Amino acid sequence: MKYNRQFVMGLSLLGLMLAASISAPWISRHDPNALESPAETRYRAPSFEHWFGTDQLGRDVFTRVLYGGRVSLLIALAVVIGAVTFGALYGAISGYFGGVWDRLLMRIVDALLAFPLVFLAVTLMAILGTGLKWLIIILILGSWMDIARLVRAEVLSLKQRPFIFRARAAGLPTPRILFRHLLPNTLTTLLAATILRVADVILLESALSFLGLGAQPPTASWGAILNDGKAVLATAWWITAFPGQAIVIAVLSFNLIGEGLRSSQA
Amino acid sequence: MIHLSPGDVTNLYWGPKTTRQSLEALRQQRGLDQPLAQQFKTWTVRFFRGDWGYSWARHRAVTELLKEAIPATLQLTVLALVLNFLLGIFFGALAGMYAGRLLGRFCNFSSLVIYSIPTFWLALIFILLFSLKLQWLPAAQMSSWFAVDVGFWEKLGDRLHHLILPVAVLGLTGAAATARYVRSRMIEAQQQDYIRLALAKGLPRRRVIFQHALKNALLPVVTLLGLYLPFLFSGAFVVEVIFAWPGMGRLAYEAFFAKDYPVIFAVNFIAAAMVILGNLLADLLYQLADPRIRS
Repeated sequence: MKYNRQFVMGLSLLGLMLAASISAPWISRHDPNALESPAETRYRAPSFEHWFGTDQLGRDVFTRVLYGGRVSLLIALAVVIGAVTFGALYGAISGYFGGVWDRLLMRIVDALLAFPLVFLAVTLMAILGTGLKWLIIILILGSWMDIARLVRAEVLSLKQRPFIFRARAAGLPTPRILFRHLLPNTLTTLLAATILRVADVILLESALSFLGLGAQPPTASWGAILNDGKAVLATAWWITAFPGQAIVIAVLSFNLIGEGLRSSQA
Repeated sequence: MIHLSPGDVTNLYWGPKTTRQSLEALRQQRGLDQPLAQQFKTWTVRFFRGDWGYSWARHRAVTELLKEAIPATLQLTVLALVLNFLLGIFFGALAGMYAGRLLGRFCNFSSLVIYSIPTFWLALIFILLFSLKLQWLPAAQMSSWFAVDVGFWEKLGDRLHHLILPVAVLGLTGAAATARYVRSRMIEAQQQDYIRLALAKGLPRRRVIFQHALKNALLPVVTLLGLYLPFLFSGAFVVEVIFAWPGMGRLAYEAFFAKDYPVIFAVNFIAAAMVILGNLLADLLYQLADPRIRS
């Protein structure tokens, strides 16, 4: 029963975060990107008025964390959808056709996996550019390989099963076999891997945004808020402490859900 | 594992692609006006002859920069790896032995929480706590400015003092991953038939767990040693930037922003080489540890 507890806990944490992010305008009456504030509202410590304090421009950190959740979670969602779609297709094709194609396609995966993800991402950004659009594209480029490997392995074993032989013998077109028979059967394994992937992507996105390579101001993702806070760590710790906790909770919730799913499959 | 080697080729291939973006005045001098294939060829030939070029941003030989950065990174990562394995194996084994009980659950949950913490945020929080609030430990650099004309032991002490925080950050986050791995191996090992047999023979439980289960659970862990090479390298990236540690990560970070291609290529090459070496090492270690693989 342990996996259930993990799963439920993760799901509730995630639900809480999502609800808070979505209903941000109703929870907080501050504007996340407001610049109206005069000097005296800058760097306010957490108080009843500003739960998480204010930042260098007098913006309410609590509000920014809420809205930042939208940005961070949407980026992660977009990246994972992109990476899983591409990775699953790639892996299925590689595994299904086998032979020379499989070897070639998998060597490309190996080559890409030979670079630490952060290096790959930062190098690609140096080439392609920074900003939200590139961030998403680069994170997709950097995170589809595991999925491809996983799906390939699944397809390799599924391929030997009688129902695929029958489908082939019946003369079904290849795309139909891939989409209707092979890929749906990889879904259970894929689901747990996908959810764990979301956690990794949130971490990576926050690291890149923290380095100033992700979401550009005034848009706030969690990592970008941390970037604002790092210079004033000594005087305004709240700008660093709270968005980081939001990241931990979000990543933890995905890890819990993913682990729960995985142990229920085993 | 030889198949992993195309990594270097892709890496080298970034040369021509990246230069296309560069619109600097020195294009001709740097050979950037030539066709991409030509640039790629020139760079590859020089690279394998040992001529790794000069840093555009720092006007020093790339090899010279690397010679300074690699020892700095190794001091950090080797110590972090030691901490990682000590903590990871201890708590992982504990979580595995007491799986389903309160202690095991506690270990398991806390490792998942630590695993979910962004490395750079943990670094910031540690700086906040131990450097800024408590003022126990230095937050940046490898040594203090006053530790120049002092004896060897003072220098060593000063260096260790500077190492504590970055090593703790890297070691802790890594230990969480190791612990999770050890835990699942441990649980797996405890379900084996030979464990049940040992218990049935009436051997004390403590002895069965330590001598039979733990030993077998730790076998696959040696492969992690190889696989952690790249992890420490990329994990060290952000940590080095935060702690202003003059290692490979920071060298790369500064090179990326300066579009300093010779340095970027060299660092990427080394990173990819380390991944391949790490994988090879993992395979070899596994063979050493598990005779069943040798065939």
